[in-house]
Amino acid sequence: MTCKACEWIENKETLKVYEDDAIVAVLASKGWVKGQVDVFTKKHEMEITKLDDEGMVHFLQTSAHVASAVFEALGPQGTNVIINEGNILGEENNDNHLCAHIVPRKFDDNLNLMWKPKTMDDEEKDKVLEKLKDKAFSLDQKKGKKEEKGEKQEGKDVVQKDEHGHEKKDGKEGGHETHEQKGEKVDYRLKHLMRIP
Amino acid sequence: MQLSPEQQKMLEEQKANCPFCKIIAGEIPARKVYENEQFLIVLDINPATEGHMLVVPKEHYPILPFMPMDAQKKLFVMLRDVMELAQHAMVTRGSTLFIANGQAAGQNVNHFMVHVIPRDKNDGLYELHSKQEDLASDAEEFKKLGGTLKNTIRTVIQRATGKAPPGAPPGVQPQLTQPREVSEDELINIIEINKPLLDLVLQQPEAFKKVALQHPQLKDLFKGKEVGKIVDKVLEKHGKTKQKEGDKKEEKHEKKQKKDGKEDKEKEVEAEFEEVKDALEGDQEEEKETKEEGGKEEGKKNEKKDASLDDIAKLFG
Repeated sequence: MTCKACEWIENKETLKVYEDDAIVAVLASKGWVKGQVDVFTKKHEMEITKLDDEGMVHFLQTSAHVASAVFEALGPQGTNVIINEGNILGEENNDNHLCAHIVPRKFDDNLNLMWKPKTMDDEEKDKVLEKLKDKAFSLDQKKGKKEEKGEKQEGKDVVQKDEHGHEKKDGKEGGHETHEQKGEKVDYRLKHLMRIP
Repeated sequence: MQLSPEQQKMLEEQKANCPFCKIIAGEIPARKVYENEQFLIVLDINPATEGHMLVVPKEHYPILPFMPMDAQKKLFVMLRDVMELAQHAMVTRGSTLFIANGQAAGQNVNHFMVHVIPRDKNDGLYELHSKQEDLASDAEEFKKLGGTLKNTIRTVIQRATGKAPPGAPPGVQPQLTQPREVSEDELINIIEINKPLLDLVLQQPEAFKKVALQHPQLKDLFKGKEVGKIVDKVLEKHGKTKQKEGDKKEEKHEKKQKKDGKEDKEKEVEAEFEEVKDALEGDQEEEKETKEEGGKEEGKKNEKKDASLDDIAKLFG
């Protein structure tokens, strides 16, 4: 399986605007607008979670520097930094080498990168919130703070504050939700198997 | 980033009206996913997909470059974990990280934040994937653009880290592809907010006048401007009186310079610059450092402030 990004990085013809041990920034020959720079990890990395703290900081900080440079050199009215991570478009698509697109923007550039908001009612949003909060303790664990109990306690407090009026609904759905979550845990592993090429 | 008192005031006003500062203060309710000392993660009220989160620094920064380096580092590490969280919790194949700096890029609120969007194959957000339009049709222009960017990136990294990035040796100085006319007031403002520059003007006004007109980057900014006037205004602001003789000399010098051929001018600039540099060598430690980096550094600083000024104006506008 050849990777387009790896080919670009190895190709001497590619217009590299920055290079160090871990990162290569390439002036995009294909993309949204002229002046777009694509920042790649040198290693064929497909998942951002594989980067260690240092690698992650280096990747994003370099991207931020490139964004500043694009702003200074080209004089756009704004910049976007976009990273599409993971196997979003499926295995047939070979574009998941980790990459940050730096896009110079102008008011009249006719680009529309903004999404159409998904219509969700409060109940749906609350469900999503629960799903995320259920896993959010991992953000603390990463820093070596393994106070799961304390975190969960805190989490509950926030829930009560947030959903004053919905206490009854929560009670009704509580059992149902945990069931759903269990089901999804299996699903999640399955899906992750699919991510391995 | 250093701001002038006026800019600071504008920033304060902006903060007072900022919906995200209100969310952080608890004045506006929001669906909070996670919170620590520095950051808050909330659900976007207009989500692109289910689980669309906003990672918001609690401190109000209009755009990313305003954020101090150590805070940026913490944010970046956290973003990786938030992307992982998005995929795990929402059971998706991947996620998209989206940053908008400036209104033209789709930033609606003046509070800097990062979007983390859980992604799946059929979510319809294809506009977030890079288009494949041919951007290199004009090979010469493309190459030139690459050269400009390469130099600017180098300068930006060097400025931010204080270290020269590895790889290519310093090439030609980056040139702004779209030089912008800067007004005298703006120049004064630039000097005011740039501490090393201000010190230089206050302590060595004559030296500054020379540097400003000859330095490869400063001279573009000060082209056609009366540097003497600008310096005097700055001095006046800080309660120092001007020296008329120096002023006249400067004007003569300017005229002379215009007559000179390009090559001569360049040689002269270098020689003169060395002179000024030597003269400044005995100055404060801090200043010495800046100067040793070369006037290049200073010129770039100027441009950076210029750019951020522009930006601030836009954001406030």
